[in-house]
Amino acid sequence: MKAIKRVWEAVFNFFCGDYFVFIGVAVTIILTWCLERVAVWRVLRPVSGAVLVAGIVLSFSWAVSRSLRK
Amino acid sequence: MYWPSVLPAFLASMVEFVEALTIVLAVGVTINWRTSLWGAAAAFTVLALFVAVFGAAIIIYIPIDLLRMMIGIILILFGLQWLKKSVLRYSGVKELHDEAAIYQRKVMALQAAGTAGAKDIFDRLGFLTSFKSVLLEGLEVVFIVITFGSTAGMNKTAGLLSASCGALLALVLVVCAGAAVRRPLTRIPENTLKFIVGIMLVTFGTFWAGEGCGILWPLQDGFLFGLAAIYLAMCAGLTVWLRGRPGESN
Repeated sequence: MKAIKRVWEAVFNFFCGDYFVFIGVAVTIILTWCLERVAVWRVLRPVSGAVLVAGIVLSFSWAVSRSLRK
Repeated sequence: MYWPSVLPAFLASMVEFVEALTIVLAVGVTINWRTSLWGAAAAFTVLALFVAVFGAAIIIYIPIDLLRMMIGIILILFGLQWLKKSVLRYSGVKELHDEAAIYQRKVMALQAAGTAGAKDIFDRLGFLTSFKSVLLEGLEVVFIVITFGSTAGMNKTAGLLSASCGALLALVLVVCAGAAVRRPLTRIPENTLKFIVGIMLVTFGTFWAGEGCGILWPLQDGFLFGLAAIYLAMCAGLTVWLRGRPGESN
């Protein structure tokens, strides 16, 4: 279990390093995918690009402001 | 030659090569060049095997849309990591990245370990230090080459070759500069370079992740400039905000 945790931490720190960015980007991508692919949500398809960019900007701003509290 | 793969791969790889070279030079100067170069050569061999196995597998088996989405997400995360450091450094919250200071710290650490000065003897610590740094930074270069190469354009092989050319050019330039000065490449403004590359990574990442989801961007590839402008404005805004905070003026 410890080995798995270490591997996960190494991989995570290599690619991302910040859980706030990770969560924010993951939620944004899922939301964007739903806007593009799920039939009921597709009415909002014209704004999916804006949602993606806004989600990334917000996630990043959130992570930067959080890092000040450390 | 596919230029949207060459340029970002070249710039991003250059950042990694400069970091690796700093350590290789520190080991070479303080221990000996034989140990340092053997460590770097061993790391290059491991990296070549890694590319041979995973590079081919990615090209053959994974559909382009899925690859674009996955790589796009990773590029966004990877790029935001660099941008966050850059914004915190520009605003004075974090100390500026100084290759000269890193070089001095590494030299002092090696001297403290009692390994400095042995000019001809193969040194295990020196080998591992050089190997580790080249392997880690090289892995980042491999990742950059595979992502920019395999997701840009419709022909993955041509894209991968173009990105490899960009990375190879960066390697040649950095090694030549390193051989000429034989000290950390402090003249290359690494913080600025890292910031620019961070913007590029997030821009391309957003573009490809969006395409992978199914988004048809207005102006197609031309929208990359719009995305870059948005992220530049975001970083500028955050830097100004951080500088304006009480106790953070720097």
